[in-house]
This record gives sequence, structure tokens and C-alpha cells, in this order.
Amino acid sequence: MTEPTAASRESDSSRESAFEQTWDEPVGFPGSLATVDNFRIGMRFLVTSFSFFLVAGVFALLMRIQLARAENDFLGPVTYNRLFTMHGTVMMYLFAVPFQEGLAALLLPWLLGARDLAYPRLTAFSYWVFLFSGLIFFSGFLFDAVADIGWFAYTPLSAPAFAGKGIDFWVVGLGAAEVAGVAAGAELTISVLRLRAPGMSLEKLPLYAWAWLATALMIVFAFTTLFMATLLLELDHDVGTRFFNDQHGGNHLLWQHLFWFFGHPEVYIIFLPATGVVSLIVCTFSKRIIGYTWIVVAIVLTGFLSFGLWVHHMYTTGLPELSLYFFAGASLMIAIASGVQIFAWIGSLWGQRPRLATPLLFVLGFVFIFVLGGLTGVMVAVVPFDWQVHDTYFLVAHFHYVLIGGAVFPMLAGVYYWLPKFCGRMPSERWGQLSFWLTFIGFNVSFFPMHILGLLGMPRRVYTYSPSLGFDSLNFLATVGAFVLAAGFLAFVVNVLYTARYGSEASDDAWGGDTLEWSLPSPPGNALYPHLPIVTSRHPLWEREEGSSRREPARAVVEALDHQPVGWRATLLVDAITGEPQAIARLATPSYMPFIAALGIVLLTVATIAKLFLLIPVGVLISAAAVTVWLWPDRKELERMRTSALSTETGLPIFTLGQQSLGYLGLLFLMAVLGWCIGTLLYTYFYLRLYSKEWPQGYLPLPELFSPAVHHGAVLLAAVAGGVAWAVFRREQRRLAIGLLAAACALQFLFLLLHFYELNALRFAPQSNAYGSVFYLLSWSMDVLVSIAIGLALTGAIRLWKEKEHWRLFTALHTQMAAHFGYFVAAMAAIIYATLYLSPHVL
Amino acid sequence: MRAAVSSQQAQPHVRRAGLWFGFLGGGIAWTLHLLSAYAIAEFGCVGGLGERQYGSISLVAWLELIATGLTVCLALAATACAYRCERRLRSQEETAAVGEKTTARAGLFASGSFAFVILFESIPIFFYLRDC
Repeated sequence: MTEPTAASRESDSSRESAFEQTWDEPVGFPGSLATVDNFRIGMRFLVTSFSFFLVAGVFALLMRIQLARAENDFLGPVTYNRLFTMHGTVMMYLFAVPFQEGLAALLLPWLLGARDLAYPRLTAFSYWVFLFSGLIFFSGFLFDAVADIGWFAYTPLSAPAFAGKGIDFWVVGLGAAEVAGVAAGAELTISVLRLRAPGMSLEKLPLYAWAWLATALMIVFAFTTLFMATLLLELDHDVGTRFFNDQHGGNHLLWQHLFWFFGHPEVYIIFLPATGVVSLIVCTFSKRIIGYTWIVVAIVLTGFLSFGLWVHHMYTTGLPELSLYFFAGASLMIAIASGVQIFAWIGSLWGQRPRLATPLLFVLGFVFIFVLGGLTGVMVAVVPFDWQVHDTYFLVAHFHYVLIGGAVFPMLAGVYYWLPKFCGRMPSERWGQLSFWLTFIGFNVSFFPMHILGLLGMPRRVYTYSPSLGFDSLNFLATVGAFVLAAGFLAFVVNVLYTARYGSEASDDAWGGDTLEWSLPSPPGNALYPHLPIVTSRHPLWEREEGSSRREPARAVVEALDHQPVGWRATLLVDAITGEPQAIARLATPSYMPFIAALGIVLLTVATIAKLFLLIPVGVLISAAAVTVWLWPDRKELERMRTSALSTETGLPIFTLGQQSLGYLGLLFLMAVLGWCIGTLLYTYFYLRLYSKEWPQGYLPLPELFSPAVHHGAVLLAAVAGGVAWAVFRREQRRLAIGLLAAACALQFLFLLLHFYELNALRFAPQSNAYGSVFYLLSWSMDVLVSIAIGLALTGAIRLWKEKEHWRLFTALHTQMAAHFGYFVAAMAAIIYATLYLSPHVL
Repeated sequence: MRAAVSSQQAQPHVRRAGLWFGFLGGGIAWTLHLLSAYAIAEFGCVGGLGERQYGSISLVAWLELIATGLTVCLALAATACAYRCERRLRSQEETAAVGEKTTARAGLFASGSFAFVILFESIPIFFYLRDC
């Protein structure tokens, strides 16, 4: 081997510093608004969501003081209702899921061997929207308008006739939180599937990434459903629609269906990532994980089955008995999927004599508590048993065992486990053990008595009880336990703060872990993996396959990407199954636009709460403009990509199309989310139809068929024009492609015009009855889809028109996306036309 | 232009669509079963289909049994597809085939389990053959 010369060393060091510079993040306060670094944003998620957790925990303590003795007057019924609503809301929407998302945003690039997540600006946007949604929830306290309708907001209690002012803060804050959740879900799914180290095939994927793959997809579908439900509720409040108003053809049970279609998967959205954390910790401490494939199968089963449990919460609502038992079956089956993972962890630890360090202690506590919660889950899955304990403290005990045992314990385990990586210091073992035992004992003392209280018949959601019922002593015990539990969390906070400042120095691989993050410095810098790792094993740090000829092609790619590219950010895009390199994916740089787009959403939400409806379009415009600037390609960056030698050196494309392009994958996700929104509305339409004696309601005439067919036909023609534009683009006929994209825009605009006239001429309004409400909302949804299609086609046409030199490279993706989104809108137009105009004639 | 925007495709050892169908087909079948079973029960019972009887069995129960039969077939087809992929890949040692093999094996377990879950969930139909 030859010694490196001074000149080559200098060139290496200048290349390294240029690479570091490429990944530099802006500094100072203004810079912190523009950062897209996964570590910083992940940390912000963790700190913000944990702060919300502490506040909601204080609410819980106040409630426990109130319930400590019979007929206590510490809190009045109004304050109690507000506190239990905010406790549940904050824990479920502002802590449990965002905390997991933050941990994933932070960890996944490290674990996967990628330089960042797929859409760094989307991560930043997701955080800002989440932060603002939390502030909106809490701002209700400033205006004496705190929601008091429970975290589930059942109608008719949350309907305009009964709900107070607080409902606006609740619905709007929740809507914003869901936007943040869906954005994070899309981001994480694509990152796990496509941004991995070369060689990391599906069978070598860390179990945490598997768990997130399932969870992120669940978030997208569950949160979208809730978003639509909250939209319907807000429209009932602000526009006067009748979705949940039984007197005008609506149905209050519709809310429960939509809410629990989100609500039950939500439990597994919280639980599954926690199982991923547990799998990694168990593997590190026991030096093995058994049943990898079975754990993966269990994750997939859980992901699917969790969507089949929503009626599990509605056993007492009078649904046909037969339908209950399908859901009872699914509820029983999911216990098997969860059990598989529990047995795999126990089997992995069995006989290994692992060191009982704090992370593992929390994992063992999780197993104990979650098994108890799972067993009571099987009990309440059985319909007759549920009828007995429904709305009693038995349920409160059950879901706290599942949620605190199934999620909070693993979260704390995860923080202790990765703390050395986050701050380069080891947590104090003494404080760690103290926090564990206080948390574990406090939790069980607080929540176990609630099982008995429930069986004795104590109803949930009551602010007090009569002394003659005999609930006093168990309630007092539960309150004592709650304070011990709070002391445990306090010890955890003290330990984390102490560690960050005074903890002893940690090595890069503090626990002897097997996954890639332990190969990074602690804490990792901005530029992750200047030299991308090649993965040859499920335990890449334990089993290194040196000099294998099988990895030669990947090695060449990795060598070419060593401290490269410079001047633009990139990582490898791999095949989803095999992990073989497929393309070089450009990653976004810091930008203020995610923050500004989030501010637009804040304006929109504040305008909704304050009933300043004219400001809503301003908020929409700000967000839309910020997103346009955020997505608009930087010409200089494109030029750097074009002139880069990476494509030649690696043999991989830089300008990609279809499923090899992050932009296109994002569009696929957008279509999935929009399609699901429309699907939710179609369910609403047919559900209302089912329970309505006459349809259209109010003895309105059946809808006309011909003229709507004409303007929906314009959307089909626009799709054809877009498709032909993409075809002629590929035949290098630029001008014709521009003309056809412009024609697609014109046809879609024609649809909007004709649709506007049609809706204006209707003899009913959204407020007339539930039929009118769902008719208008589906029609407006069509307008939104067509507007997005116009935006995409217009972008494609403008970029193609302006880009005269390298248009084949720089504008191909935009043209393809405009064409494919046009097909999607045409399909939606056909479905909506069939539902709104044809179905009333035949159903 | 095409060369610039196209990319290398790893040579598939089995058809990619078959692999994904084997992996997710059972789950999709289960989803279809649950949604159709729920829709038939809720819409059928409320809409009066439970009162129409054919061979002493209500129309709702017939529809539920048909939905179960079709979706079990779909789940079993996915299981068979995963099994075929797994068998074809069993002899291959290339790195790329390892991920595919695991996907096929996981598909075999998952789709098989979903076929079982569909059958398990359908047991109550036999207790509601004449009414809802």
C-alpha cells in the first residue's frame, strides 16, 4: 500500500470539509426556523411532546386528588370534565404519537444507514404544525374555552346544540395535529422502504424499522379518517351542515364509526413502534433475537387487524349482533399477534443472563404490565363481558395498562438506551433504577385497584361518587399510586438532565449494540455517514463480512459516494426488497418555507376559531405559496446535479422517474391520502343513505344525469390530454407537450366553472339536510382535487416552457406527475359522479 | 433521454408482483372480508335482507358465507403464491435472493394466518343463519 502524499491528504481534507459544509445547518434563532436536520427536529419533537406529557400528567394528579375521597369538592364538575378531556387529548394526540414520531425521525436514518429522511422539509413542517396544534389546544385556557367533551368527542355531546366554545379549539387543534401526523407517516414509510444502506434487504431490516413501516402506513389511513371526521364536525359547527344531526337526516353514530376507525389503530400506532424499541434493546442485552420472521409477521398482522377492531368500542350502541362478532373475532386474534412478540422477547432473554441495566429493567416492566393489559383486552373483546364492564373503571384500568405499559415504559427504556448516543454521556444507573421502581410500583398501585373498582360498578368519567358505594379506599390507594408514579417520572427527568450535563463519557457503542447507529460518533454530527455502510448481516456491528465478493458492485457505489456529492445533498435509494442500490436520491436543504407553510395553517385555524372566515383563504394562500416555493426546484442545484460525475462513477441515475423518484413516491402518497379522504366521504354518503327513509332527503327530485356528465367528462378529457402530453414528451416533442398540458389545465378549469354553475342552480343547500351536506362536501372535494391537478399541470407546462436547454432531464418528472395525477382525478370524478348522480336512481 | 432517466433494475428472481401478492394478499383478503362482512350485516340487517330466507337460511347469512368463501380463496391463493416463490428461491444463494426469500417466507406465514383469521371470524355466522 502506498503512503498518501501531502497533496492527496490535502485534497481529501478539503473534500471532507466541503462535504461537511454541504450538510451544515443554519445557526442562531432565524436558522433554527429553517433547519431540516433530523437530529434537531427529532429532539424538538421529543422535548415538546414530553413537556405536553408532563402537563397532562399534572391534570391527572388533580383528577386523582378529586377522586381520592367520596363527594370531594377539590374540583367542580366543569373543571373536572375539562381536565379529563385535556388529559386524554394531550396524552393521545400531543404526546404518545408525536413522541414516537420524533424518536423515529431521529433514529431511522441512523439505523437505516441513510444520510437523512426522505423529505427533510416535510419533517420540519410536521414539527411546526404539531407545535402549533398543541398551542392551539392549550390556548383554550386563555379564553375560558376548554373542551369538556372527552378525548373522543362523541356526538351529540360535541354537536352545535350541546358543545361549548371549547369544541372549536379541540377540533381545529386536532385537525392540525393530524396533518402533522400524516406528513410524518408518509415521510417515514418512504424512508424505511427506499432510503437504506446498500445490502440492507427486508430480511436485514432492524425490527424497529419494520415496526415503523407498519405504523407509518397505519398513521396515514387512521389519521386521514379522523381528519375527515373532525372536518365534518367542524362543518356542522361553522357552516351548519347536518352530518351528525339526527333531526335533519344525519346520524350521531356516524361519528363513533369514523372516530373509532381511527381510535383503535391509534392504540397500535402507539404500541408497535414501542415493540420495535423493545426488540432492539432485548437483542442488545441478550445478544440475540429469536423468531425474527415471526415478529415481522406479527407486526404485519397487528397492522392489518388493528383496523378491524373499531366496532369493539361500540358493542353497546345497538348495532346488529351479527356484526359485533366479526369484530370480537378480530379482537381476539390480535392478542395472538401481540403474544408472538412477547414470547420472542422472553425466548431471547431466556438463559442469557443479561445485565439488568435501566433500559432492560423498563423493558421487563413493560412485558409484565403489557401482558396484564393484553389479558384484560381479551376479556373486553368478549361481547357479553364488555356489556358488563363498558364505561366502568375496568376499562380505565385496561387501557392504561396497555398504553402506559405498552408505550410509556418502552419509551423511557428507549430514552435511557439511546441517551449515550444523543449526548455522548451515560445515564446514572442509580437514578435510573430509582425512576424504574417508582414508576413500576406507582403505576401498579394506581391502576390495578381500578380493575376492582370497575367490577364493583364505578362508572368512568364521573367527578365524584357517593360514600355509600364503598369506592373510597381503593380510590385513595389509586391516588397514592399516582403520586408515586409522578415521582418516578420526576426521577426520570432529573436523570436525563443530570446525564446531559454531568454524565460520565460514553463510548460510541455504549451498550454493545448491533445496529448501525452505534457506529456513529456520539452525538452524530450534521453529516451522517460520509462513507455509507454496506450491510451484510441482520446484526451489522456484530457480524461484519469483510472482503465478500458478493458486495463488490455496492462497494463501488459506496466508494464513489465517499464524502460525495458536494454542493447538493444526496443519499442512496435502494430496492425495497433486496436493498440493492437503484438511484441517487437528492435530499432537500434548509428552508424557511416549512415554517411559513405551518404559519399559514395557524392563520387558517385561528380564523376558524375566531369565526373570521375571510381570513381562511389567506391562510390557505400562504400555505400554498410556501409549499410551491418549497417544492420549486433550485436551478443552480439542478445544474450541479447534471454536471456531477456521480452518475457515471456509480452507474446509478440521479434524475429519476416513477417509483425511483422520491417526488413521485410522495405524489403516490398524496393520492393515497386524498383517495382515502374521498373514501371516507363515500362511506359517510352510503351510511347516511342506509339510515334514511327517503333519498334524496326532503323529497328533493332525483339528480339530473346529463349536464353533470358533461362537466365530469371534461375531467376525463383533461386526463387524456395530460397522458398524451407525457407520451409526446417522451418522443421529445416539447412544444406539443406544453400545448397539451395547457389544454388539460383549460379543461379542468372548464370543469370548475361548470361545476360552480351547477351547484349554484341547486334547490338545496348544505344546511338543508344531511343529503345536502354530503352532496356539497363531495362536490367541493372534487373541486379541490381538480384545483391540485391544475396546479400540477400548470407547473409542468411552465417549467417545460421556461426550461429550453435541459428540459428532458429537468422537467420529465413534473410532466409525468401531472399526467398521473390527472388519471387519479379522472378516476375520482367517475366514482363521485356514479355516487352522487347515478346511485340515487338505483339505490 | 431515456438512458438518463432510466435506472438499473435488479434482476428479479421471482416475479415481483407475485412476491408482494404473497406477502400482502392475505391481509388484503382479510380487510375485504371484514369490511364486506360488516357492510352486509349492518346494511343487510337494517335494510331487511335478514328477513328474506332461501333454504331456511337468511339472505344476510348467505351473503356472509359467500363473502367468506371468496376472501378465504383469495387468502389461500396468496399463501400458495408465497409458497411457490419460497420454493423457487430456496436454492438461490445470491445476496439479492435472501431478502426475497424472507419476504416469501413471511408472506407464507402471514397470508396463511389471515386465511385462518377469516375462518375464525366467520364462525358466528353459523349462529345467525336465520336472523341478525
